[in-house]
Amino acid sequence: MSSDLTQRRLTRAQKKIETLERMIEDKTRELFEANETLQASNVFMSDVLRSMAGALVVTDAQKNIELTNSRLNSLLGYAESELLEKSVRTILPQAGNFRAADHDRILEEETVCIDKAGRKIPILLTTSRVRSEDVDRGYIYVAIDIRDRKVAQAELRETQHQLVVASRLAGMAEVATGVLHNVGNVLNSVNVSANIILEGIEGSKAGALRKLSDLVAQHESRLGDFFSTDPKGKKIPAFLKGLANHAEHNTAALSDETRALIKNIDHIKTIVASQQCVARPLGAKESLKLPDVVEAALDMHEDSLARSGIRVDRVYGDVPAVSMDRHKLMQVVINFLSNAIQSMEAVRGKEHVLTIEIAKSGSDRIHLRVRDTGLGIDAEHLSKIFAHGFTTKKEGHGFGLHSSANAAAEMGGRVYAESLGLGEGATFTLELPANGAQKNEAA
Amino acid sequence: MKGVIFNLFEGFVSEGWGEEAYEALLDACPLHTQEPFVGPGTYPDADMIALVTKACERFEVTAPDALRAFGTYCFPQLASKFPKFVQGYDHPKAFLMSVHDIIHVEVRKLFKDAVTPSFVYQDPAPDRLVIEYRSERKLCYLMEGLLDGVSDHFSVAIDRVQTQCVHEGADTCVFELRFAE
Repeated sequence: MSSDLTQRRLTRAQKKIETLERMIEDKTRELFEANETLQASNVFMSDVLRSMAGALVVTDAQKNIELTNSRLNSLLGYAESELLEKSVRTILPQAGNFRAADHDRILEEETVCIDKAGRKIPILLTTSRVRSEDVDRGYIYVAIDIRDRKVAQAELRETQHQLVVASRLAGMAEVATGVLHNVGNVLNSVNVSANIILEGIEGSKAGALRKLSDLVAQHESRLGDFFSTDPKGKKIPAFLKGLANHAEHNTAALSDETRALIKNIDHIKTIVASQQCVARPLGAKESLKLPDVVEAALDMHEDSLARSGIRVDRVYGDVPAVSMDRHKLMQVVINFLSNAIQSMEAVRGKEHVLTIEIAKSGSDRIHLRVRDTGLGIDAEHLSKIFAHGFTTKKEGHGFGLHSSANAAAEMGGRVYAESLGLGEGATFTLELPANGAQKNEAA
Repeated sequence: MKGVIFNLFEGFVSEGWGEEAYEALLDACPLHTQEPFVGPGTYPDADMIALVTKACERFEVTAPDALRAFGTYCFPQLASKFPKFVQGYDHPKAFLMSVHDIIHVEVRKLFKDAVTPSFVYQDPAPDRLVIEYRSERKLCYLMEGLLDGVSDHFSVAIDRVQTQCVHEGADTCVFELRFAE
């Protein structure tokens, strides 16, 4: 090799070294900057780990602890150095196990961790794998302390239990209130009947009969002369006839009123018995003709209607019998009639008419309307008139219409009220499904 | 193009035709780069083209033959310089299939400004491999030489057929390889 060539190659080698030195300097600067960035990133990652809401444990593939964060250390009372290289089961005895196929799965479970004092702490534990080039590099466990949540859950369960009890009691109270309300309605009629019977007994002329008996006894030895010559004795046949007429009339009236009384007492028994039906999910259904139910309810209010001079107009259409719980249906009808009568009694000096209409609404509904000429309903009250506790009556409780609405709903129907306003009367409608209807036997 | 390739070219020429021939080649080429080529540096592709073109003239070989021979020369050199990329593979097919997704990715990590070719693979049978090669540099002849170098390195004969070539108007070059048992 010539010396020129050697010199030339040496020179080039020297230049290569200089160039490489520059490159090394540049690369060193780059590495320095990268190192600074890395350190800043490290600090940031440390801050992130320290600030995590969860307690963090990182293990190697054999589940020996490689890293913890301060949250875990404060939760368990360990310094990180005390846990390093220890099995994760030291603190997480039930740490989740992955199956081979669960590469990307994250396990989440409620379990416990064990603190330094050996106490069990309930936690929500999330476990994931550290995968590198398809190999398990280790595991990441993040534990959330759920002691407060457990306490809250226990309190919630207790509250729910109390609510169930309270709800049950409230339901029983509502049923009892409904029963009392309906019994109260019938008791009004019972009271009237009892008074009429009492008046009938008190006005039975039994005293006059006693006086007559005494008079006859005084003249027992000469009764013939007494009846034919004595002025008093001569009046006795006519007096007896009057007494007989009165007794006959009074007995008939008392019999009627006693029958009404028995019927009302029987209805009270039915209402009370219905409380037990309400406790069951479904009441016994039977085939009912709506006009018959309405007439039975009208019978209960017969006296009120008569006393108040309320005329009853019946507009009964040809509707099929319905398959319903008699007492639920009766409860609604009685409630409608009681309200209508009370509303009309409150407006004096007016000729009142109670109109009861039974008709079909389309092919699948049947409605029963009770229209009165009473007080009417303010427009702002129409929407809440069926709400529990709402009433416009001085002595009302707001249970009657509410329980009617509930009963209608239980029968698959609904109730609604209409009124043109105060002084315009009101119409209450019970709408029932015709699919609960049966073929009218009379048809 | 990375300086390591220029240095390999220097070694290739020096070993084949002598150091004086390489110096004469440098003198005869109007290169953009005035300073010596160093491995980590990046230099214009045009300088390599100028060197190869002038070498072909001087040594009276065609460019395809020169590039094939250079490729065959390069592979063992590269394998020696970067052993991590070939270790762990006991068959040329597995190694070739790692080039695009592993070696080229690592090269781009090492050298931010490196421009690597694109390989798309088809694996029709255990003993076959189809590689679709795409590169702005159109160095499919170099690729042929490198494939021969791979065959030598793993001591497995590779029967190759190029079914498509950018020098014949195609968008990409396609190599169908069949590996000996």
